Amino acid sequence: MRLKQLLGYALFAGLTALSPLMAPTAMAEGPLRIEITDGVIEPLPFAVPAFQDDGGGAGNYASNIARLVAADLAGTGLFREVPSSAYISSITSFASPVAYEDWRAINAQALITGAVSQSGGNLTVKFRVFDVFSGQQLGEGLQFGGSASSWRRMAHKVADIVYSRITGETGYFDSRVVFVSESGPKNARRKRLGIMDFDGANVQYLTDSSSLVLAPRFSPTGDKVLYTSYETGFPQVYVLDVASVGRRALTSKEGEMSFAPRFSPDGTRVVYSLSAGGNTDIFTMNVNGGGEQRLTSAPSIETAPSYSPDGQYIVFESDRSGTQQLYIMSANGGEARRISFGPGRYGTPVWSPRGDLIAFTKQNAGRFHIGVMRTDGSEERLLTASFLDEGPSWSPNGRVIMFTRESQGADGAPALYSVDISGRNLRRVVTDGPASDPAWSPLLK
Amino acid sequence: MRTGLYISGIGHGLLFLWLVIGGLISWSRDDVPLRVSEVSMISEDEFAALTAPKPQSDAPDEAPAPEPIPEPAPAAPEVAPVPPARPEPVPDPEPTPEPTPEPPAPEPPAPEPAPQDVPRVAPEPAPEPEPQVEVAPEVVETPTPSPEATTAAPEEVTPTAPEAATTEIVTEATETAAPTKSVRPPARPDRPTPPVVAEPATPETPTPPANSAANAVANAVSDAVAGGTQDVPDQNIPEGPPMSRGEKEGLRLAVKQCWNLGSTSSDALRTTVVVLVDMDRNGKPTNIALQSWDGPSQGAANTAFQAARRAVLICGRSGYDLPAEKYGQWRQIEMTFNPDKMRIK
Repeated sequence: MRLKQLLGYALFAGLTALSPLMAPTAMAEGPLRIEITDGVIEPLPFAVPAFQDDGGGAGNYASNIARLVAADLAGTGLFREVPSSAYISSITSFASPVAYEDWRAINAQALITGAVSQSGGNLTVKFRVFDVFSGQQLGEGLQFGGSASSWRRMAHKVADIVYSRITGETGYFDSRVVFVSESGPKNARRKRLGIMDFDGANVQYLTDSSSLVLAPRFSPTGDKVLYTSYETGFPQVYVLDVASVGRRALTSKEGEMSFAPRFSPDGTRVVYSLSAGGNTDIFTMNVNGGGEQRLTSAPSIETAPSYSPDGQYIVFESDRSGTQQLYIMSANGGEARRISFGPGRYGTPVWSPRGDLIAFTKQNAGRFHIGVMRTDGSEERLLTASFLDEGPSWSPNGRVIMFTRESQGADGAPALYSVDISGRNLRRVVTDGPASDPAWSPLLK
Repeated sequence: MRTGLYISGIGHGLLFLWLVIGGLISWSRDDVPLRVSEVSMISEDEFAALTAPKPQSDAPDEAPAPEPIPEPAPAAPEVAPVPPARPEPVPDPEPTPEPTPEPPAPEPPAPEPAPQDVPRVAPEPAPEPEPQVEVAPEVVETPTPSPEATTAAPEEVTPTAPEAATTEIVTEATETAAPTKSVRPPARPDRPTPPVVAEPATPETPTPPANSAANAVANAVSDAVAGGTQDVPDQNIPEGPPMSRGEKEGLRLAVKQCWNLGSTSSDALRTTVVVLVDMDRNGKPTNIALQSWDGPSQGAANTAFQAARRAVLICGRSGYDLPAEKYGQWRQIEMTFNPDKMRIK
């Protein structure tokens, strides 16, 4: 009997174990349901046939604008241009219907068509964006008008719209970057402020090289620049009008050094570091002068303040814990909360324009990194690693970070680099010479 | 634990007993032929007495001996006593010729190879597929040379051939509901009776326009009828058994390789969208609609939906590999795109 019982148990256990395999799939009401939880991260293939010459001899502009739009999109690393040699059909008219099948055949998932007309010294650029595989136009067609000399800006604006319609977030192509242009030997560098398009084009200089300049920062409207100058022999904070290149010192107390300025989100106030009596703390003041307010009061060094997008908080670096770490405090000062706890030293924090991330420079184990973390210090991610990376600056849409990378050795020189917040698409920004301290402007109006 | 020991002990014991006793049993079976012990020792005198004086008178007596010879199996033991008379194998040649005339008796087995010949014949008509059926009649015809039967046979064969030709049409009608909607089905049954209908039809040849008009009306009516019975094809959609896990996984893998989130916003990466996909019988998506979404904004949902739609369309360009017999199970698919694992963290 015991043997029979054992055999019975064994049979029961076996059938129980096999039952899930033998049982039919559960019947479910409604359509078949599946869930996809992982996909791929790849650049989206797009095609930008040469824009049509819509009159006035705008052929060159049409071609150049189309090329610049393609370069902007491909430069993000989020898109990949399908070469024109692969095209099956061509766009002969801006109004002609799109042969979707031909574009699907070459796996162009987005198609941008456009036309440019010239009248006098003005250009008109019109364009459309198509989702090739759904056979639908993404949004309505748009057009921009401007002087022929501003064709690059119009191309950037077209690229911004295309970028926005495909990714769902605003672009950053129609923006500018202020930076420190450097020249001369490493031990006797001459520095001046330069301003350029985000892609390195149209460089202009805002100051001469007679005095050292550091850390330029755009105003929220992009028409002013704060920076630190050694013009008086001591570092002082200046504000410069971009249009007129006129400047004035915001702080000029003798024996005090002011540096690391940054605008408040509303552009009315400036937060900066003030070093006096061997101690460095954070202060704020009105852009037009006056209204000075101390935010920190500690024997340690507090510097590199940056407002949150809503202006409610300030993130800054401090060595009050013994090592350089990141802290957040109210925009009115008060108790600060430490948010960085990893190994190494953290500095130059910058709040993302989206408000969800804080970019920073990290030095650890002899290497420098550009990284991001949540505002509570969680989810820290290091995006770069090199001999010297520092000074991150956010793109207007909070998707890209531009920073300074300096190469090693006596011949080492700083250069500007950009990287996607995912850590991909690390690119060097082309400049005429060595450059450092980039600061991204908001989108131009 | 002890139960196993008992089982092992009993098993080994039985095996041992079988080895010992089983062998004896098998030997006992072999003892039967040892009954050769019947071979008794005969002296030379006795042998001479048996052979010399009464050979002729005994010979006819032994004549009936050949009769038992037909029994092939017991023949051996009876031959055994003969060897003592080894010098005279005379009786042996006698029985041997007797079995030779008996081979006619094994002729009945001859019909057994005959059915083997049938397949040999079959390969001959094999090159002609249809004549295979005719092979049997041909074999039958050879033994029955009757011209009358041949005339009757073709009549029976001809009706079968046309039926085979029309089977294709029948299957088309059954597989698709299209014939039920069109006028063709009623027209085809008329074809077998063209000789009857053709006679009245030929006089009407001068009025072809009337036919076209009638056809047009018939088409219109059939179209109307077809329009009213649009649900019929739906009823013919094969439901089949539910999709297996493997089939679902295959579909999921096919879609996910085209779900590209490389160009979507971070908000879209935090948005889960549920799309409803209509499929045709070839496994190609025909319609994709956003059913619901869960994320920070409508704009992010639109972007996430665009990425999902591209994934379904691009990888479904040539049709997804789905079981046709289960079309009813997957003609509409609810796909949930959850980018939680893809999010930049």
